[in-house]
Amino acid sequence: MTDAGLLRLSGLVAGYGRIEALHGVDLAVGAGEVVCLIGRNGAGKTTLLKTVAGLIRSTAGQVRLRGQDITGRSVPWRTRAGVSLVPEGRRVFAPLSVHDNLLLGGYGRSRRAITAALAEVYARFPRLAERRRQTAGTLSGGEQQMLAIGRALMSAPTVILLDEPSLGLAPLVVTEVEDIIAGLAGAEAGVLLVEQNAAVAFRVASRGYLMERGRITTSGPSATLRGDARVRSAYLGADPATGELHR
Amino acid sequence: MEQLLGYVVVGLATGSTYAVIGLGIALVYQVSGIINFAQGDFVMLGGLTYAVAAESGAHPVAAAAIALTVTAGCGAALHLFVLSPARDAGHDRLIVLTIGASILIQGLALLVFGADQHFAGSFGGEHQFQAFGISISAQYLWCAAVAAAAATAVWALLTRSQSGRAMRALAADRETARLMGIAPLRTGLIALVIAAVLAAIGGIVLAPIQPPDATAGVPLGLKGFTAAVLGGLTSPLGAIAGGLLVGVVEAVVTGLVSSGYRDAVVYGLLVAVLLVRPGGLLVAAVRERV
Repeated sequence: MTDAGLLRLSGLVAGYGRIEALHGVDLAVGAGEVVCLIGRNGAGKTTLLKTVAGLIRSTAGQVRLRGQDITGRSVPWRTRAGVSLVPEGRRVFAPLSVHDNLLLGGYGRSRRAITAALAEVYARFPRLAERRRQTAGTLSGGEQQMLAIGRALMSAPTVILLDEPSLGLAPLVVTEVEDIIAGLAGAEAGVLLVEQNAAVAFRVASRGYLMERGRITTSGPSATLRGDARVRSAYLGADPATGELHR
Repeated sequence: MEQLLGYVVVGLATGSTYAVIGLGIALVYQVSGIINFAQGDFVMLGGLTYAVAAESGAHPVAAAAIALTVTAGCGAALHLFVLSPARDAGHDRLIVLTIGASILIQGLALLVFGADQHFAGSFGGEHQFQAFGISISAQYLWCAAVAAAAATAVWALLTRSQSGRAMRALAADRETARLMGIAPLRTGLIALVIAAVLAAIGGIVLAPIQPPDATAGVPLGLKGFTAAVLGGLTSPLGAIAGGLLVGVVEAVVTGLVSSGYRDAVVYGLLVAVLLVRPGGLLVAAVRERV
């Protein structure tokens, strides 16, 4: 296992109001690696990402970023510290132009930093550069995913949280998005990928965690997880013998 | 027929001030999800402060600066001391709080300025010009020019500055806007201060035409609200078009029928639009939850 000192969650408990969705989660992501978090619908994967991003307050446990406790920090603080979430469903600002979407990704940064980041994103995604004046809502699904990732990159993140990036995309586009994700982990940056599509998750991530009902039940290298019975049952869905159903 | 054109000109000019008032309502609604019923009292406060300062001998520019500052401060206070502390109360209750603020501002204005109307001279002296067979005060041209400048400034702010982009992002998708590091409360404060400034601008340019008193706010606020609702509440351009329409309807009714029916017709228009095309309010409410 790589040095997982970039992002470390320990005993993380969080939920919505009185409903607890995470019951003490331990997880780590190191610089340079793509780590996947897999599990059924309703297992708590999105809640986990939102808690790391600060959209949901945790009630117990810790979130550490490069060793620093950021548990009580606000969303803007975390964004500036390098945590960036690409939300499920891409959530681009549909009525705004591609260019404005990207500029918002750099919200709070200096003009010079934004200009530099913008040049990088346009270089990485020439298709966004071609469509910079188009409103984001008119882009195709794959392009919107590119924009959502580009927008996240505008804050120069070191922890990139991706929530279901392949959802609703054509198979050919999924391959394209896989390549993009693989390229996101760098010398300083790590990726935590939530993915329903296990094939995608195991192709892109070097290791992963399985989450069931708000707990991590198993973890390990992708190759091992791929053969794990629990992972299989989680992904093949309802097993008629046990009567377990998708939520 | 010629006279009708004259009334339309007057209506467009007055309507341009309703447009900026309504623009403020639409802006706050988009950014914070609140309909600010104190907007009319900001109009009154701006106009009354301007008229009182001008009456006591201040240079019109200085009087306008004082009026803008007072009203902007009042807008900031409404956000910081009323809306922010109660932010968890839900939008409908916050709207009721703005009604309370409206009554409070009106009461304070009565205490400070008294119940009398106050008079401000037209900008650059009294001039009349003849158009389409009626005599029109040059102040109407000031109304149109100042309102156009204010609307252009808001447009530039919304499209060219990060704060403006943040406002549009909040309107489009609140949670994702927060993910960008945008603070909804801080941005809501900026929006409310801009709305208050727009209201004050409307109040100042209207003051020479409709001498303000402490109770002038409610009807003006309702006209701004009508303007914003006619435009569907979701689009700044819609609010501007709505304001111009309200102004024209009002001027034509006043000119051709009687000024007594003026307000009834304007609010009748509001009711009719809400009945026939409730899309304005409803579409916005649904969009907001997405």
